[in-house]
Amino acid sequence: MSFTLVNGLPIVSIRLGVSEAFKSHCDRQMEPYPEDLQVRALIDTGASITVIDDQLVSRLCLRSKGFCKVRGFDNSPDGSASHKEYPNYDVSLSIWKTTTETTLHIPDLQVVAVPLDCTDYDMLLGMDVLRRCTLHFHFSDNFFDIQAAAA
Amino acid sequence: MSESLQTETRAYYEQAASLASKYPAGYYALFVGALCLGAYPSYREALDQGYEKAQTASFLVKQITCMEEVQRIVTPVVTLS
Repeated sequence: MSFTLVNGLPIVSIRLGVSEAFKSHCDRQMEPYPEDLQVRALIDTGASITVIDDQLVSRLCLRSKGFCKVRGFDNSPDGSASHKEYPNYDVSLSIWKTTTETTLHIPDLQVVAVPLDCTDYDMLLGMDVLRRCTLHFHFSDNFFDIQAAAA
Repeated sequence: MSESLQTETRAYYEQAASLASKYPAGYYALFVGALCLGAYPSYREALDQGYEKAQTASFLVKQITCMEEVQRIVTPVVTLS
């Protein structure tokens, strides 16, 4: 699946929703759950975990399942041992391009929420997800390919 | 840290050593309040049990590790003050 670079950045389309575990629970209880959202994610090999903008938490009515210790992205020094704790949430995630073209689906994924405050993307796709993919960058031709890695 | 899940988080850290000796590393512990309801081999299984047993209450799912991993994110993020 190929994507054109956006302002020079590798950004993919994501379908983000509540976790499949929560959907199953709601189905059993015959309760509704929020519809999946179409968002944009920056492919970020410098992130060990996937991050969503905190505004998506309220849009999907997510409830925290705990906290992750995170360091680095608050501009603390590279070698700094300091870290902060951020809430984590359970979500489902698909990398997709059209309704019939999906390359990776993760039914239950733990993500961290922070204020990203960025107009180009709504989340950072970290190495926890990218480990499940094969990526080929063609920066000189302004596109990249991403596929789910063979199981 | 927000107010929610404080009880669960405190209970996890108090029991972390015993959980690590009781369950294989990588299992996911499930806490509702101060009570550990078990540990499960996958995130999905812990979530399923959490939603079933806690119903509408909050619950904590925490991966059991010998030394808790600190996640690293290099990308600078603007934090609104």
